[in-house]
Amino acid sequence: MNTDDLIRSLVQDQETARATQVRRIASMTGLCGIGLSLAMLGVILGVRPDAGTALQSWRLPFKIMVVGVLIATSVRAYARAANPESLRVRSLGLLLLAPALLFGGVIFELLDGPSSEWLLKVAGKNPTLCLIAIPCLSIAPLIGLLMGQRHGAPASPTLAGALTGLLAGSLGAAVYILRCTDDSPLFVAIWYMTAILIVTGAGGVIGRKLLCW
Amino acid sequence: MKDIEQQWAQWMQAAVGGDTVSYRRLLDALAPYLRDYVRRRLRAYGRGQDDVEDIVQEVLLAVHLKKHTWDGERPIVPWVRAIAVHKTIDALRRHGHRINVPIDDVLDDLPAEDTEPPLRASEMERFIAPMRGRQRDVLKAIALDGLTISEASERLQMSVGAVRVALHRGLAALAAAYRETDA
Repeated sequence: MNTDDLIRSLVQDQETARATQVRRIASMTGLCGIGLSLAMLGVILGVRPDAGTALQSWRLPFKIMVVGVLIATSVRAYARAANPESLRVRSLGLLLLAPALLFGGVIFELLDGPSSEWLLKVAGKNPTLCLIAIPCLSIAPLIGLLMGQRHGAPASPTLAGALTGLLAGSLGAAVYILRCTDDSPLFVAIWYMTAILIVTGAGGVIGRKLLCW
Repeated sequence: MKDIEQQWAQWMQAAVGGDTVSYRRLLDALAPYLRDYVRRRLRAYGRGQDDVEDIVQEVLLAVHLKKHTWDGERPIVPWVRAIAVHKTIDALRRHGHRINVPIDDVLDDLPAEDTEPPLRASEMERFIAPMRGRQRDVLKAIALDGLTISEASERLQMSVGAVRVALHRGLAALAAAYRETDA
């Protein structure tokens, strides 16, 4: 086939004139994923009963804020990753904002009670549930967001997959917050972050295969 | 370079808005630029020039399928080059070469004034034969036999809408077929 023939065919292919933007598709599929996760949570685990009292401490609002910041910065990185030009370090740097905030909370928590309680706060009530639930609640968003990213042209499919996993993990964590009764930043720093990193890693591994273009 | 950058950006904006004339102009301008760029890339990697036209076509196909990933606020030439680099490296990896990507893109990016014509036609055709019925027939009719969409719909006894869908899916399948090959 000579190039001229190819060009002629491309010009005639108006189907792509319709917007297949990653943002548009990912918003739809991502929201579906979140919806599924919420349904999963509602059916299997239910919402935490002590939300009212928990909100009176600084810990729960702080936890919500940290995960919220992580979601916001992850969305940005996920969207940028769809571009064939390599991600700038600056774009990835913003991802450190949530961990930095969390670190601040950890320091505050360590100072906010006797050191004998530190280990108790790290262990919390149910770390195993957290480690299992967050990845499970991330599955539907991960699938939806990967479907969106497939319309992109990421310079590095592995990195794009990892960023997709990071976003999905954050969303799974956000859903889990509705149920989780462990609010200490010490708990969040260890268990939430591990769970999210698991999903991030999974995203990277899957992305390497799935996000080629 | 800046004028060309602006011209191409204008054409692409128009193309994304549905202007086929601008799109044709853009692709016609990209082809020689890419030919030159890919040649120099291959030379920089110390590789032969056999696959230049295949890679150029693969890049054009990718530009077409992924044009919505160009952020209209940002320059278009780096975006095109990023796709070209990606596909060149893909092509070389497929042939079993291990590539160490240079960190800086030190190559000049002025488009060549006179470019050598393509050395030979590409191998893209051989990916069409094993495709699924409709996509294969439509691609053959439009890409190889040079029919328009309406002419193809008449010859193949398909609706225009069905031809459009088959053309788009066929082009996407063509891009995927390249990924799966190991030459």
